[in-house]
Amino acid sequence: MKIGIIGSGRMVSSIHLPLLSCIDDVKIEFIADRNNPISLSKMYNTKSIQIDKIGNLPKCDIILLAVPMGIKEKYLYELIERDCHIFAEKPFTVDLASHKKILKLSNKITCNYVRNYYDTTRNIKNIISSEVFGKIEKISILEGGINGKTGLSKNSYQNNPELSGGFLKDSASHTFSQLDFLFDNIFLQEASVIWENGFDVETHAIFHVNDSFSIDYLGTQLKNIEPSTTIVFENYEIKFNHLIPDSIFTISSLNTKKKFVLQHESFFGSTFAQAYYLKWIDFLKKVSSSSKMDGEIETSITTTRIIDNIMEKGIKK
Amino acid sequence: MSLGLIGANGSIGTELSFLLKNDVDIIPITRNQLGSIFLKHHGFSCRVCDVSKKNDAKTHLSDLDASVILSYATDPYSGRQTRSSQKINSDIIKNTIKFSRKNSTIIYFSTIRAFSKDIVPNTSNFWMKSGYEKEKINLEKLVLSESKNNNKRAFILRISQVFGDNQARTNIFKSTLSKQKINVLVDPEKKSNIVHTVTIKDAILKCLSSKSIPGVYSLTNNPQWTWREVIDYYKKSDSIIQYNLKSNNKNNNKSLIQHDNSFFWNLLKSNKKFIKPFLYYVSSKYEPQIQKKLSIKKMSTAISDLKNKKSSHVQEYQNIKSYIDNNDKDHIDKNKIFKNLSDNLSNKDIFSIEEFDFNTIPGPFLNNLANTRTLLKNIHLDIF
Repeated sequence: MKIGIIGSGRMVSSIHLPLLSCIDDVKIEFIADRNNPISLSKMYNTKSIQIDKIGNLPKCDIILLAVPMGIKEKYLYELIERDCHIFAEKPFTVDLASHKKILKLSNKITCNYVRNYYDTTRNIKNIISSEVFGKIEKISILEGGINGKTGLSKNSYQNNPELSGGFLKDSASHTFSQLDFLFDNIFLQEASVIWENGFDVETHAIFHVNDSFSIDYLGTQLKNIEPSTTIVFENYEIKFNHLIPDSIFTISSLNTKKKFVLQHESFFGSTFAQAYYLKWIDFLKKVSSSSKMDGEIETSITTTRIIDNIMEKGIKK
Repeated sequence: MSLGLIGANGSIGTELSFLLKNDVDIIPITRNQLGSIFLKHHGFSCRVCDVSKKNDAKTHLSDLDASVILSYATDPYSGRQTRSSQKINSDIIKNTIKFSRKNSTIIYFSTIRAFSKDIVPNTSNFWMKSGYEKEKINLEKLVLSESKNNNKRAFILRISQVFGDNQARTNIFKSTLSKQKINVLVDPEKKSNIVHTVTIKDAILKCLSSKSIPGVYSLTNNPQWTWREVIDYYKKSDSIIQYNLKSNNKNNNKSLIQHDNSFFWNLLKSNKKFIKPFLYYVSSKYEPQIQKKLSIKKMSTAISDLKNKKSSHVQEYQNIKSYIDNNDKDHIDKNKIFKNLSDNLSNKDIFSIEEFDFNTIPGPFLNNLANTRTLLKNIHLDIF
């Protein structure tokens, strides 16, 4: 399988390239960027390309598209025209309209919402679908925290919310993709967003799921919080950290007030590297078997819709 | 008095910005826009400036009466020191001292680890010594020489564990010490070396006074707190604390494997624990190659671990539920349900951290620091 890579940032150099180097039958055909990625390409024994026209890039089976959200769309249209498979980094598009437009043109795309390959996500899905603890009454999700040391350079694209997407698109999108994986019919009921210098720094949103329970979401960069998801059933409460692949689950009985800690046996991705690997393997299998992909699921259109709806309600003031 | 806090978006810098805002004209300095957002939201006039770049430093530091250097660059891939990160750290110091206002005061934050083996018992020797420790020692020397050459007042403050409302360590202590019973593996009367942010603020203000003599100082709570005082301050009132001295079993020091002459790449492929200290010395032109080797090693290990995992199976949640409900406890072997289901409350927690082994930090200390406990009583930050 020939894979071409567009973008040469940290995700590519520290995750995708070393990972793809470990997968049999994968050949990295080229690395392309606006600035010629000569040294990175040399290190991985592949062709280095400075992009002038996207149409001039060599043909290959799969393109890994790892460019900032703000400039991704023009690449997507060009690549779709070539009819190749696309593995796009998240967030997928700027808004829902673009997302829909792209899916109309191609169903050979996936978006790297990797948390669905975490042990944590798979285990909570099993717990919920087993219905052993009864029906869900409500869920609350907390995430974020004060930024602290960023480790980014002064000119990193992440300092420009138009390019990076800000907290909701760049970070919370992962959490919304987990909700999409766990539940059908998620609808935003209300949302408020606090903005600072063009960045969304705090979002409070309430969702309804299947008209049966609500999800209270708080993503903030204005307070120090311990990230967690708490699922309340009639007589039990289960709490875990949805951000990490190998979270423990604290199960509390609301009647006896006793708490138990459950550490699942691992059968999916219990490290970030394993989750990325599983995502790639899943996509490569689909490509090699030519099986039809469901673009809406692969790219989590629900995630884009949720963010779009939050943005509408919490419009920049 | 204008005071620039370089690296103000770190956990200490952020807290100091709030603590100092009524005492000086505080100017938080962050390397990028993203880092300044929280402080800007709270009304601080931040400057976005990469002090390691001459032009940036020249533009943004020349009007400052004092600069506090809190930033410390590390390699983004390994989190360790490389030649590239060392250059950034030394450029920050050189530019700050060179481009700050004439007669300005420079305050540099260093570490207790600069005392090496005397205070931190497990410090390694020679090139296995941590990059952090070596780098801080070198940077201290650089601060002293550059400030002498540029005729600036320079204070170096060596600190150990920092406590305060925005410090992750504080939350760890609070949460660990909120349990019912905790077995703390330290001599309670041993001095702790910890410092609260209120005392750091006090020390900065003392350094700004012309009466203070520039030099290298140790900074702890005043007076130094014993570990019992630290634990008592953060424990829940009904928590039961039991102190035990650590057993004398020395950690099973893994013997270092002697590699033959294919040393370099064999080393890289073997164990990152051995590789990372090496990063400190290697020329920056080899850094990408090393990062690549480390990343591939990490990925291949992760993949091979994954292949050994059991296939997915639906767990026996019904049994867990029964167990939790206490309905059928006598008849259920917990181990058959889940190997790792544990009663959260029955375990007595053991609390031990590396710093319990540190010896008492020697001076000199700054004169006339206020009593930390009094400072803590008078400060209420409702921000974090």
